[in-house]
Amino acid sequence: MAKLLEVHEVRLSFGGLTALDGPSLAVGDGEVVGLIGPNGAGKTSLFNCISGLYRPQSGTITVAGERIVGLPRHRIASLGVGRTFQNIGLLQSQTVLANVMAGAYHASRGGWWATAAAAPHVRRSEDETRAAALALLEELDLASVAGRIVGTLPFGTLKRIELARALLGSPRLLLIDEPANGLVHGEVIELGETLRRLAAERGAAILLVEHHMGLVTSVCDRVAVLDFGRLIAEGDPREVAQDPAVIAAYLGRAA
Amino acid sequence: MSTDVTAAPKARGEAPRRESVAAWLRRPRAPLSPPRWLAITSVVVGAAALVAVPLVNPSYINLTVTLVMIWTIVGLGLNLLVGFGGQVSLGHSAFFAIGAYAVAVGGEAGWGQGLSLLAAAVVPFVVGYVVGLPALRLHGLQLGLVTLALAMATPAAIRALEPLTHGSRGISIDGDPPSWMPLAHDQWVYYLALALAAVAYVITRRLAKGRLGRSFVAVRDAELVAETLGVNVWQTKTRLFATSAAYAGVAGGLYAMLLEFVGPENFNLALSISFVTLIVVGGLASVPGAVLGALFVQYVPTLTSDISAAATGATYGVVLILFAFFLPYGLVGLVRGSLGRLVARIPGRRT
Ligand SMILES: Nc1ncnc2c1ncn2[C@@H]1O[C@H](COP(=O)(O)OP(=O)(O)OP(=O)(O)O)[C@@H](O)[C@H]1O
Ligand SMILES: [Mg+2]
Repeated sequence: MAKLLEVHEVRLSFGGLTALDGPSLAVGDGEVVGLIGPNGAGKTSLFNCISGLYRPQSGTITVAGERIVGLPRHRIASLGVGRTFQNIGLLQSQTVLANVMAGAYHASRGGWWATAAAAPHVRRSEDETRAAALALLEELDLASVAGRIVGTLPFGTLKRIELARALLGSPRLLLIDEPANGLVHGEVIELGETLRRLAAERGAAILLVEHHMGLVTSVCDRVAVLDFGRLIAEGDPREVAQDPAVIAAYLGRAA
Repeated sequence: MSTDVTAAPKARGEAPRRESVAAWLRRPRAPLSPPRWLAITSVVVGAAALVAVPLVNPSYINLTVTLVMIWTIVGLGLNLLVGFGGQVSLGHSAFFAIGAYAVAVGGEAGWGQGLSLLAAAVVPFVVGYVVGLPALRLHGLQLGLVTLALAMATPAAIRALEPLTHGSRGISIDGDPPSWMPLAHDQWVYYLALALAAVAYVITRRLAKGRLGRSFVAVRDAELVAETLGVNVWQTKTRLFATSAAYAGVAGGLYAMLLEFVGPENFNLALSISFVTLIVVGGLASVPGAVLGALFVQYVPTLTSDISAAATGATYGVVLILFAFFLPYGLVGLVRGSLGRLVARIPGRRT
């Protein structure tokens, strides 16, 4: 039985620069896995391969047994992959509510003809989407900004809005890229609790890219460490943090 | 649950600053949200007034109001494509022409007005789809150029298709109502245009809101993000292009019935430019904006052409520049800015 996500020896390079040098990785249903590594290690690149934005030169990626590489990008969402973006992928001109509701696109109904005719199932689907979005905003403490235009809000808030949007698509696998970026310490702890709870409630697996080690150790069942596109360590968060190779990778870059 | 739209949280210690007029004009705003009773009353009163217009006015007035409704239909469709979907087209005069000629050729073939108008929607839709398939692989400037070429080629193409279009001689059309109907020609076309514009307006609103509307905006603002949300970007663009072509075609068909004559000179590049001006002036990505833009392109050039015939082109040029700089949300933005607070204060249940 294939795991929910299986990444096998994925290689990706941009011209002469190797972003991913054959890492393999698996995430099971409902698991919360951290993906860490120094800047430029290839974490976001791996996310982009999984959501189809980048096409690796070799290697395979499967989600629920289905091969991702070469699949049209828009098909990947309906396999149950949701994601957030390191640099925010929200629609700046739209309200928070509209942004979050957009997350339900693949899971909701309403083709062109049915929408033009205002068919009952389209209205119902829209009402359900709105209700679910509002409930999620409430849960993520965003209810007070639901009607605001996204472009005017602070970075930390935007990260949570993106998370809400990704969750509204009921993903089986959620890729979260640096959610704690732009948050202050207290908010980070709160975010960690929220992430765990949401994942558990929904049975979603999470692959979490994060530099904030406190968040990673408190939330993740397991972590994988990338360096120069290679997997250099994998295992229990606390143990991995003590691993000499991991320490060297971080120190090596910092120097 | 309450959602506070107005109270922007200020960073602590930040003194409230006076906004400059330019900044006020450029600020994005939510649509007006009138209470239900006001919305219903306005629609009923507006509809009654529109139905009454041709009964109490001379035919030249009916003619210009019918033209406003024809431009509105074009604007609604083009705004779906350009305003919501973010795909530029300078070529919609071509689809307008195809619709007009569908009615003209259909009339010659004895199809009857209903079938001819249907052809005026279907043929441009199909042509739009086929043109859109390759064209919408292109972005921004390139797409603009390809559609521009389409508009520039239209009069020549009409002349070249002589057997069908009778070239420069053009085609006369019978736009009279069915004999049992007690209406004059101008009244008949007016009511047809009113009915079709109303249908187009309602359909556009439905498409522009909700699940599909959000997908259009996602395609416009962040294509890759749209794809990760499950939106088939290319299909969305192609359908938008074909749909907006169908709107332009229906409008062209009505135009042919109104003028009762079509010839190649009716469909030059200037027509396409006026379509683009329409949606920019009315307000990109706004459904009611199409109506305001249509009023603008119908009445303002008529005013300026009293000064000189060349003034129309100059007006469009100046207006496009001014709106790009000072009113990015068009006349609709202006209306929202000036009436927003007032409308929000009117009591009543909102939807
Ligand atoms: N589209 C691209 N074109 C060229 N190079 C790229 C592209 N995307 C990523 N890279 C390169 O690939 C390498 C890995 O980048 P990536 O963004 O995946 O790192 P990361 O681990 O997410 O880093 P950070 O922690 O800073 O976000 C970097 O050297 C980066 O410059
Ligand atoms: Mg990154």
